[in-house]
Amino acid sequence: MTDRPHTLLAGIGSPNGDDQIGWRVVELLQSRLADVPGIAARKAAVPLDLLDWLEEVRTLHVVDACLAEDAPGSVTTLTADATDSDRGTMDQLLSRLEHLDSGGSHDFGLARVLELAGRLDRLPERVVVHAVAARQFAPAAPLSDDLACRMADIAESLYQELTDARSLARAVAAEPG
Amino acid sequence: MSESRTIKVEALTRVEGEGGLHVTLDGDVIRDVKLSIYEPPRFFEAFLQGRPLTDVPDITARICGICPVAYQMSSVHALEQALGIRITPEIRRMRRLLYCGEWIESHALHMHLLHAPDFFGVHSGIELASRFPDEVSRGLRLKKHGNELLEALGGRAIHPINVAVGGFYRAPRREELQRLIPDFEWGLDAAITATRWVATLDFPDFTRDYEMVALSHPDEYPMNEGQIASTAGLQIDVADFEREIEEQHVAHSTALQAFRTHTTDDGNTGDATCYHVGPLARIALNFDRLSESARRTADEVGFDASVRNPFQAIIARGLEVIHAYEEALDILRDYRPFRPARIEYTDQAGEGCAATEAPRGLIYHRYAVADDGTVTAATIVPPTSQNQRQIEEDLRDWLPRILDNDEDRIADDCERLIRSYDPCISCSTHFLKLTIDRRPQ
Repeated sequence: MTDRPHTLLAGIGSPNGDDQIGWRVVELLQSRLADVPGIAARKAAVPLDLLDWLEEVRTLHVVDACLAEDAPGSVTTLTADATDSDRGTMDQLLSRLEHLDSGGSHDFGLARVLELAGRLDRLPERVVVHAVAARQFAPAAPLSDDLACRMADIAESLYQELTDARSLARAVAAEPG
Repeated sequence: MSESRTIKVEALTRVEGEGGLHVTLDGDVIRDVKLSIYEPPRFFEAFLQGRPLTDVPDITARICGICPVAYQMSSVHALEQALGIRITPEIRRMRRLLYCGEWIESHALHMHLLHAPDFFGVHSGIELASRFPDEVSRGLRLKKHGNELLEALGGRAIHPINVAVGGFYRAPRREELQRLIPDFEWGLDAAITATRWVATLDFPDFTRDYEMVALSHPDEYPMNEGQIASTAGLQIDVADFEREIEEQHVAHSTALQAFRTHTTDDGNTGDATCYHVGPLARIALNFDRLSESARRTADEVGFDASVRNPFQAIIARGLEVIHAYEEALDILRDYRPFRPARIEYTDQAGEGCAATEAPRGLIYHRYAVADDGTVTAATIVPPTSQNQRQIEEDLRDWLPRILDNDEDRIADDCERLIRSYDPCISCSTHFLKLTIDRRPQ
C-alpha cells in the first residue's frame, strides 16, 4: 500500500452562482474526510485539473453543477465501473457526459478529460459523476437558495457513500500489494 | 472536359471558432478561394463606447478565452497613452511575466493537442495520447504552468481580473510567485525537449514568400512594446498602423480582412497586399532577441529567421515557449512585491493606440476617451483578421499540390494548413466548412 489516496472526491466549480456547488460540497467534507484513510477531497477549477490527481486513484467521485430541467439541487448519479458492468461502462458514461460538454478547442470538458485519462492510462476503475441540477450561473453571484438548502444533504449523502464499508473494502482490495 | 465535383467540410476542427472554406475550380484551375467566416459579429468595439475606461480591460479580456492577456494589455497600453500615464519598470516587467504565462499555455496546447495530430494522421489530441502519452502529458503539464502563472499574477487562469489601467489591482506576495519556480525550471527543460520533438516532424515542402509583420524592439523579444516592422522593410511607429494597414469588409466574411496599403508620403496608396503575423513573423524579425536557450535550441534543430514554411510554425511556437519559460524564470527569481502596484491618474480627454503580440500574432487597439473617462471610440484589429487573406493566398498555392487526392484528403490537407496558423475565429469573430466547386473546363 502507498500513502496516496485510493478514492478521490473532486468538486468542479467556479465562483459563479450555482456553479459553486462542487466546491462548496468539497469544503463541507474536507475536514470530515481528513480522518478517513485513503480518501482525498479537492476542488478543481477546470476538469483538466483532475488529470494530475489520478495516480493510484481507484475510485473517482466528481461533483459538478449541470444545467437540467430537474428541480434545482436534485442529483443525477452517473456511474462507470470497470469491474461491475451492471453499473455501466465507461463508454456509456462518456457518451452521456459528451452531451454536457461545451467550450472551444482549447477547453476540455469532463468527458474529454476522462477520455484523455483513459488514453494516458490514468483512468480509475470506478468513476461516479454526481451532477447537481442548477439554474443560475451569474458571475460572482451567490449560490441560489435552492442549492444552499440542499448542500448539506448532498454532502452527507456523499459522505455516506464514500465511507461505506463496502466501498472502502473494494477500493482497498483493488490496491496493488 | 473535366467533371464537376463539390467537396464539403462541415466544420473545421481543432481551431477556435466557426467558419467555412469555399474553393471554386475550373478543371484543375483554381478560380476562387474564400475563407468564409460566418459567425455573427460580436460588436465589442461598439459596446465599449459609452462605458468607463476602467471597464475596458475586463471587457476586452472576454474577446478570447485563450489570449485574454493580449487583449487586456493592448487596451491598457492604449488607454495609458490616451491618459498620459507612465508605468514603472516593475509594472512593465510584471506585464511581460503575464504575457509569458499566456504564450506558454496557448502555444503548449496548440503544439501538442491541436497541431501535432496533423503530422501523425490522427484526428485529435486525445487519439494522439494513445501513441504519444509522454509527449501529450508533457504538453498538458506545460499548459498548466501557463495557467497557474496567469492565476497567480492575473487572479485567475482564464480572463484575468487583476489587470488595470495603470498597472495591477494587487501585487502578488513573493511566495505566491516564487512557489512556481520549481515547476518552471522543469518546464524550461521540457519545452526544449518538446521543441526538439516537433522539429523531427515530417513537414510538407511549402516555402512561401511572405511579408512578415511583427513588433520589433531593439532590447527585447517583442511582447508588449516596439515598432511595427516587416521583412519588406516596413518600420513604423504603432501610431502609423492605420496608415499602413487597412481593414476591409469582404462579402464572404463577417470578420474584417486586413491589408497592407503601401501608403506613400503624399498619401497615395498602392495595391493592397496580404501579410503574415504570428510566431514565424516574430522570429523572422527578432531572432537575435530570443533567449539564449531558445537560440541554442533553434541552432540545434536547424531553425532560423529565414523559415517561411507555415507548417513549421509549430517549431517557432516551441522556441517561444522556451523563451517564455526562461524570461519568466528570470522575473520570478528576482521578484519582490512592488509599490505602487498601480499608477494613479486623472481622467482626461485623449486618444491612444497600442500594439502587442498575442500568441497568434500582432494585435492593435485604439481608443478615444472623453474628459470624464468615458470611452467614445474603440478600434480592435485581432491577429486572425490580419492572417485571413494570407491564409487564402496560401491555399491558392497549396491546393494544386493536393488536388489529385480524394475529396476527404483535400479537405483534411486544407485544414492542416489553416490550423498551422492557430487561427482564433472567436477573436476575429469566429470558423470552418469547406466546399469545392469543380466546374467543367
